[in-house]
Amino acid sequence: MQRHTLRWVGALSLTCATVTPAAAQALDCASLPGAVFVSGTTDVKPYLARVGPKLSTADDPLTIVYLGVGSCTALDYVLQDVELAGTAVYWPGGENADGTPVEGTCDFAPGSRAAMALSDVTVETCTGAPPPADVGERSSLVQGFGFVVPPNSSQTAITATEGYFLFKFGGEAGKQVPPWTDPPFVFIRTPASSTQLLTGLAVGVLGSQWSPNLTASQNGSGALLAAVAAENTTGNAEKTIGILSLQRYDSARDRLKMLAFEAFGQDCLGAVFPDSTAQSLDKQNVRDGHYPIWGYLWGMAPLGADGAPADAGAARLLDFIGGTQVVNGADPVADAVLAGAVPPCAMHVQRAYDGAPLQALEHPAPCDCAFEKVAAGSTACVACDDATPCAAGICRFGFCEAR
Amino acid sequence: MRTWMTALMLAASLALVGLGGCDDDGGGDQTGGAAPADAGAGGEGGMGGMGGMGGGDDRCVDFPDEHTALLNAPTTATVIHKTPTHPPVGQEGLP
Repeated sequence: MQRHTLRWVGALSLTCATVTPAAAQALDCASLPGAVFVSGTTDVKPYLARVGPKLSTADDPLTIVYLGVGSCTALDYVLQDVELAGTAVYWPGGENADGTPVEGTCDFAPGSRAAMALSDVTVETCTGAPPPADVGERSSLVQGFGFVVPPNSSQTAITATEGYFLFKFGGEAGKQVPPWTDPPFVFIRTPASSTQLLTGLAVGVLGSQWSPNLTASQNGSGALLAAVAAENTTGNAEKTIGILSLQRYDSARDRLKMLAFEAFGQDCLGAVFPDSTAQSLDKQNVRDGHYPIWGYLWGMAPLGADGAPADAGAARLLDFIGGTQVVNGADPVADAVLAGAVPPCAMHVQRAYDGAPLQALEHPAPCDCAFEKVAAGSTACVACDDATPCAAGICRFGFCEAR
Repeated sequence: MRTWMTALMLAASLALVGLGGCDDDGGGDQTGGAAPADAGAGGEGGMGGMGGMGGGDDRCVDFPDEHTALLNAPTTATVIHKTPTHPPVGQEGLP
């Protein structure tokens, strides 16, 4: 079985959205201009919400019609040819009074199929086998994950071994990890969720084999976020913990607190946050190899005879996500950073497969300066443009990169 | 005199950081920047206080693979030295 891996070195941070209740007047999703049907992880919605309004209002519109589900479920829509049903969300352009993008809803007509899927784990992680030859799989953005607690919790860190005991035994007597000893307050996802699968790989318990004691399972990252945040003032904050993507966390830092994580074999250093500090947004430890709970965002699509995605809309969206070309203000690099993801060009480490050991990476076209400017608001790099070339290095995304 | 005392305080501070950095089970949770990977090479001048831990702990200098070396590389980021609360590791099948 030949594995079609389409190269995607660019920014791809899609966060699958929770399906919004159907509007009173149902709109056929297929009627939207340039509609591309996407089943995707619920962790990619912040990114899609950033780029969706700009792509749908471009001269050649591309409307992302998004059904947010767990990563492996998202893949099933493509791999198993599962019919899309129910209500999806899309971004027609414009902003609400609070500055958030307007989100519309539409209904899938009978017989609708996904043109592509977005997942934070590979087909192989979900199914145990490579994708079939007629399905392409492209990696793109880096999506991090972590442990979250309510702000009133005094906890600041968790070790991989603690995570192992927590998820392997689920509060079983003699195997407890104080203060997280009460299973109803250990909020997890499902075995189809990339959040659970990648967290499981980091703590040594496969996401499909977590303790049955852990029954506080949430169907989406939005639901998990709400469940953990809701315990902040109930008196249960200290014993509450959950798992969440960094995209979701970055959009809710006022409601949750991320724990530092100490990986297996990291005891010579200690526990670190995904960012350089608990408050920063620089993803420093994800980018330099100190924080290992992350995976690539994968785009999967049925392939045509020419080896390219069979659906033209899917091909355009995959090219955009994996590229660096700005389209009608939608920026696959900057919008990814703002959504809490990391473009591959800002990474200094890589891995060969989900949960694989980290390896140093020297990206051929780095974007560290642009990343720092967008993520942190400033950079020590020298600005450049056509009229002001770099005295040293390469001008890329408006800044002089070292190479 | 002031310079000497400053050096002594710096050495003591670095020693505390180093001790926390290579002892997962020691002390309470500590927060701070750390440079553990090269801490083990200490043991000279003002950093003499680190010799007891770092100088003799090759485990925190010569890492077995690239992955472990990256995880423990010196960093300017905040590092928290947590006292784990899990029970003693026995036959649980830890990776």
